[in-house]
Amino acid sequence: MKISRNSLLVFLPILILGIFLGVQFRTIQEKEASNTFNKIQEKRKQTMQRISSETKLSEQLKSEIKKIEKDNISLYAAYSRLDKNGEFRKLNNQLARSLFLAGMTDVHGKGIIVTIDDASIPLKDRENSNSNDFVIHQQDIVAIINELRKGGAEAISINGERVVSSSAQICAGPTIIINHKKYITPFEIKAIGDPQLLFDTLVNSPKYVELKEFSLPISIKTFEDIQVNRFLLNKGNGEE
Amino acid sequence: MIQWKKIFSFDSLAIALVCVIISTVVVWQFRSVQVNEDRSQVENLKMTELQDELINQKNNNEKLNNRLEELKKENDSIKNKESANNQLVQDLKRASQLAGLSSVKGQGVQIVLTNKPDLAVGEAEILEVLNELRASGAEALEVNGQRMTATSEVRQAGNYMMVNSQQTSSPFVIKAIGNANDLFRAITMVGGVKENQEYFIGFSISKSEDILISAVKDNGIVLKDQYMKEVKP
Repeated sequence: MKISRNSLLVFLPILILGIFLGVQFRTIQEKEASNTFNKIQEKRKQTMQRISSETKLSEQLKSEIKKIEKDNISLYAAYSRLDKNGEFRKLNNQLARSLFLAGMTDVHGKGIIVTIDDASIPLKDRENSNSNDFVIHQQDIVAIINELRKGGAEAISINGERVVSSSAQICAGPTIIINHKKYITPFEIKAIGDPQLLFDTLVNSPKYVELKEFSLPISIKTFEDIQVNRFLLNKGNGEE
Repeated sequence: MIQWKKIFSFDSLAIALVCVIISTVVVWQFRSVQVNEDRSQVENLKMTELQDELINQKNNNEKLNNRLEELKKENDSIKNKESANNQLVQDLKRASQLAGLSSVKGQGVQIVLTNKPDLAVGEAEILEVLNELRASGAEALEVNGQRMTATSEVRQAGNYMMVNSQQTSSPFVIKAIGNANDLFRAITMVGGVKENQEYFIGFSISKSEDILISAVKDNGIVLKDQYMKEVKP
């Protein structure tokens, strides 16, 4: 067949039209995509702003709580000094003692600090490629806390959260929830007690051996004086 | 015979060229749409995490706010010398409950773990149940009559279990005070603690309106203060 002028005249415009259409279509779509992307970014920004303002509020509430509690304690102390028959003073001393034992006061003393993190060995170097073995789970934290209690720990905190009788360690994906707050690795566990006994109890525990086996970085250091912060919220514990 | 001339004519070449261009455009288009979708999915995932964080922080602040309101009321009644004594008694009651120094009662659940002929209840099973109960809002816990305090340990020692330095053994009766329905649901949920453990050991749970949990004595055995001192402000 011979190349006709006519067919060229038909083909070229159609070709150009097709390219135009394609380009047009793509720009519209790209615009839409970037629109939704921008919307998500915008929403993200807003959410992050709200989180940071909530965090600020929480710090503010905490300091207000501490201020009023302090005020209450000094009022009780003032009444105790004026107390003639000693009954009020006795109750007030009992209150101070109970708050101290419940974990409602900042405490300090000899102890150890345990830091523990997820393993950092590259995946290809691990014989067993089950990545679950190389991250910290709630049961690891629960077991370590129990070992410290066996070693006579008097006050324990995880990443600054005081462990009290009702504190749970809950797994939430890559984070662990302690006292209703999320924490990510590394975990810093402080324990006040006999440093040598705490150290020996933890090092000789099956959990420690297991964590070492999977090369999870765990370090234990003894200290002459560490501070363990108080538990802030106190909710009712049933009825008496 | 094949008509080569016809096959390689300008017309058919032009059609082939157009086809190639169109298919390239179509594939390119399709791919870029896919990439955009993937990207927005990742962004959305991060969004839900952020929103969870926000909800969590808000709930926390609500609790803090409630506590603050409570404290303000307490502060008012302490300022009045007449009601200060009552407030002190109430504060003491609550503090000793938190420390585990007074016995408490309320609704909750009772769980019984028992050895099976070939498998004994271990430390880990008891710890798992306790942690799950705490996570579901348990306010007071007890294992075989031993109140679980901030310093209570569970130690396996041969055929025995040591709780609060007291020797005990199977069956292990774990009592918890808290919202009975919440506690029951958390333990018995699909894939939960009960389902995992009853395969190996005896596991039973019951709700109760009247759980009684004993106190510990402040005698230095369970609650210790040999090393810790209060930080004076």
